[in-house]
Amino acid sequence: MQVVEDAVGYVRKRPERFFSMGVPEPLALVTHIVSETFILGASETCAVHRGHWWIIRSDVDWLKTHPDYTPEELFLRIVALPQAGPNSMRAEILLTAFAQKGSTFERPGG
Amino acid sequence: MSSGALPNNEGLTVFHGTDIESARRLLQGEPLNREKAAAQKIAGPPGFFLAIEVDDAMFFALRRAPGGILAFRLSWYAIEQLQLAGMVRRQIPPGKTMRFIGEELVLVLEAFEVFNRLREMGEISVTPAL
Repeated sequence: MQVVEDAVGYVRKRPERFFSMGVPEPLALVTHIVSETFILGASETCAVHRGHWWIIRSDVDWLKTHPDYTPEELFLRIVALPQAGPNSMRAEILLTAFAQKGSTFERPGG
Repeated sequence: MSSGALPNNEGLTVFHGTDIESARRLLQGEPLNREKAAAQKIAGPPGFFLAIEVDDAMFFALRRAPGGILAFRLSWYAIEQLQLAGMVRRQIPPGKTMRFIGEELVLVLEAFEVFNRLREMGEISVTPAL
């Protein structure tokens, strides 16, 4: 039996599954992430658009909320988001699949 | 054209995506188990889920990656018996972020014994999908 592991490839080939317009769109990506921060416990999240970059910061480090996966793994795997209901998934992998570049920063001492 | 198997005179072929170890055990004949299904459920009511489209099953295999995908061939007799036991066919519910292209068969826990008996009778067969 073939082992299936390439989650990023699966997502990248099927943008119509993840974007209502059928194609990758930056604002939709940002919206996915921002809503995820609130689902994962944030009370304050801010999105800033500067040039080609979108910056999202939150009072909760939502990348460290998963009990089983590291922040790096969240960007490479399809990870369930049961807090959002059946068949929901976290959106970080969409950034890996569709964003041109990405970086994460942690608040010093945070 | 649909990527899922179409119904034919022998029945309907549907797909189940899960982690590779569970897939291998099912392929080797492990029966469906209510307690295990309840314990492994990620969200929503527990059950056993069979996608009409192999591409949808791949999502569920990748969600538990490393994953595997099985093809279940259900005879028309098996489908009839499972429907009597509570199996339903529905569009796969969309989750936050993700939409599916096809439908699924949902086996409630109460239908597991019927499913296992039908498999023993040869009315349900299992093969690797990929």
